[in-house]
Amino acid sequence: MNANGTNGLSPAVRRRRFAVRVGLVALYFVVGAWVMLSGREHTLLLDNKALADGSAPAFRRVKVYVDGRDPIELYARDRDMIKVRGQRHRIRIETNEAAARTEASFTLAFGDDMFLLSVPAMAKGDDGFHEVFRTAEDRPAPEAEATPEPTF
Amino acid sequence: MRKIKEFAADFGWPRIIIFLFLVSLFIVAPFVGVSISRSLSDTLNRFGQNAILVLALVPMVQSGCGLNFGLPVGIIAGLLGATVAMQLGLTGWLGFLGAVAICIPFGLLLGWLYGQLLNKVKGEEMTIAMYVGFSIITFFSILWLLLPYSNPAMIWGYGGAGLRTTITLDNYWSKILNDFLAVRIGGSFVFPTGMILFFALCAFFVYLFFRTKTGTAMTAVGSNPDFARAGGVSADKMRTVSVMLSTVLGAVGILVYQQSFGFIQLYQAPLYMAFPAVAALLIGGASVNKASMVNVVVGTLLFQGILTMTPSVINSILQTDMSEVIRIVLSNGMILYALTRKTKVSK
Amino acid sequence: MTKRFDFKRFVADNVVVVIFLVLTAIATPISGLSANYIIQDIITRIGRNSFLVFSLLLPVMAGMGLNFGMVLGAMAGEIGLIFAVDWGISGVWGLGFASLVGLPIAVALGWLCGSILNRAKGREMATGYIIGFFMDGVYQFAVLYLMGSLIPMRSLAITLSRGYGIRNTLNLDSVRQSLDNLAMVKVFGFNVPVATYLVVAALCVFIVWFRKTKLGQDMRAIGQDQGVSNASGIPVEKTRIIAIVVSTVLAMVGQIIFLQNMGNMATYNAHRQTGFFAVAAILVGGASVTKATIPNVFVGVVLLHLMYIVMPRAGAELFGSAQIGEYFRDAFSYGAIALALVLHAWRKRRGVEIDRAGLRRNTVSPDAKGGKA
Repeated sequence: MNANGTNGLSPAVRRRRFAVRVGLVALYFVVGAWVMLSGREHTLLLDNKALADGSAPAFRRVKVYVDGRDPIELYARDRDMIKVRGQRHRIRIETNEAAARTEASFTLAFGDDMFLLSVPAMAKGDDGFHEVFRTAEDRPAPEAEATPEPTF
Repeated sequence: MRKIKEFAADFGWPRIIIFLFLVSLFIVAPFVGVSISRSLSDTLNRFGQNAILVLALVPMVQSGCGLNFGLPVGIIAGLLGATVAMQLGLTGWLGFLGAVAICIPFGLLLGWLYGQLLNKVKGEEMTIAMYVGFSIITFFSILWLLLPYSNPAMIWGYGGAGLRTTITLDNYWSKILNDFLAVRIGGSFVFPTGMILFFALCAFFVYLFFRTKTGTAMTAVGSNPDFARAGGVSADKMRTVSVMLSTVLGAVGILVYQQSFGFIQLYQAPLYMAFPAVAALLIGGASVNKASMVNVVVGTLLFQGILTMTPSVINSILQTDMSEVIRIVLSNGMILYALTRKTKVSK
Repeated sequence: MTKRFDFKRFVADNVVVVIFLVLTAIATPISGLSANYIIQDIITRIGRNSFLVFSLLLPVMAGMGLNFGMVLGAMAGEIGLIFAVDWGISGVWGLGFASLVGLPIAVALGWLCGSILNRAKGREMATGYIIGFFMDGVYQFAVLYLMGSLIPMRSLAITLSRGYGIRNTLNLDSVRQSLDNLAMVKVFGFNVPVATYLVVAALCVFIVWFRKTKLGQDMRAIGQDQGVSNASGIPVEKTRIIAIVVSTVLAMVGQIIFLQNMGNMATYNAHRQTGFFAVAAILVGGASVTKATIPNVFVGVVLLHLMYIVMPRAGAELFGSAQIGEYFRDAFSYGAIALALVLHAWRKRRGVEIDRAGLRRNTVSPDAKGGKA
């Protein structure tokens, strides 16, 4: 084999080969990011409790639809847990009681595992009807937050 | 300077690094509260325990059969010797020497069969030896369950048949060689005279053997088969003898190992026993087709020294048990180094 | 050559397959397991294992023997799965993510393995085996000491309580059987994981296609004779490395498929037996060190796993101990590998000796046979 590193190829071929390789690496990262974002699993706690400031009562009975799945029925002070994939989701409720809003879209932060979604707050029309929920033992270590995300 | 470089190239950088690593472990040891005398004692103990298993590899390397990854064949012969001696109720010196006497015919027979097989597969010995070793260990796992042993110290207590996975040698010949003429210096240093003497004896016999007509013929077969054939030496016969010798030594080696360890380990325990022995021999400076007594002694001392020192020293420094990782990387790295070296054979 | 079917010759050529057929034929009725149970289990195990076994084909084609170094790929797949679980990427997405993470690792490890094997020509198998051991130590170092300390880990559920290192068992709940269940179809009452089978089928198509490419042709030429290939301008060393890289990458994917079906991962042990199972399967399927085909893979997986299903039960029925059955099947698997290797080496030697005898008689220059293989 020759040692000059060109493998005896013409500059045009080498340039094209280089471009293809850069393209492949870029494709790899794009696909990686896409898979990572779309496959990210979040736990959603659907909460049907009266708001703390008393501005909205709990529903006595409500049917919750998330992303066109089978509905989940919640009674007053119920809490249920579902797992969703990806960050953008739709929620729709069905109830006989008063609700200012029955449908909403929301976006979850990529980095957090668990969210608490308050159904009464959503029905009332609040913007921040979901918040990050952390169990005591699931708190990420501080140094893990300080380090940048690993890139693959 | 040139001479040093030549010496380094000849001896191999990995070995020098391992040697320096061991020396630095001994230097660091007192500062982290590890007793030198106890470490030395442990190292010597482990040396005596393993040296004959390493010695067992030499004949096959010399006769050109490569590294004997099929050492378990010999180990099985040794296990048969030990279990039969126990079954006969032999204890003490009678027990140990009885076990040696019983294992030798088994070793010769298994070694002969194994040698016949290896003669049919010249050039591919190592991989096949590995799998012959694995096969015989698993096959004998069945036999340990089925053979009609009846000594209650050996079989499962609760009405079950078959031998226990570990059998204690406490009332039989546990540490019989270790304690023979053992010299105690200071609080924690014990020189296991008997075991070292026994190894020296075996090594001397092997050394003498390689000075005999058969021994030199064997080396000739290993280093230059065509020349040997021209001289009227039967390569197949020499190889078979070397395999038989290797297998018998492996059998005796495991007996020495057991008496020092205090237990007979059956079933899957000997499955990977060939690998540390091979690594030790290679660390001692042997190659795939050349090994000497010096390689055995130096290699076993270095390898067992590192195995003794890393857990205590590294743990005191890093507060974690990294010794397992170091052992795996070191021993297999050494084997890899030997396998990938361009062999200097004059063919 | 006669066209007539020569029974003796067929048996001699496929002695390992025949032994396994006879063994399982005896053990199956003794085990007392129902046909339905056995068939369902075999269907599952084909999906679970065949991809791993396929990873052995290319190096055999390139004349490098059975690639025991495939465990490096298995390790890469496991690292990918650790990250998929750590980042909470679930379902088939998680498997895709694990493969993407494992890809560069598998390529790097495969390149390393191939380069080492190029320095150990003639003893690739033993060397590959030791590379697996060696890398097991490195893997342990990375997963047990670096993950959580140097490599940031998010999930406390998978790290050890001391703060770094991954737990001994990794729960793969988030990706468990996600590929199998993607399209589980009932056929004659049996659950068939169609998606997994499609992946395996795609791999078969890839291999058939690959053989016809320039690279595939080169590989086969090298497998035939390295000296001649080198003389005709094929970059031998590079092609051999590529064969190992592809094999490692396939093993990486195979291990991910295997583990998603198992649903749990023994972090430090899952890869230890991978090479053994794959090699045993392909040899039981009638492959040799120099020749392995797609049917060999399927026959081997079915036969080997049939024995793995029935042997413990047969042992329990015959000897009152399932343990004996397990030792039996291990002994026969190891024995099958040893026997296949011995038969191959023996045949090769017989061929060489006939050549040599011919050479002596005709006093042809030894160089006439080309370079050293």
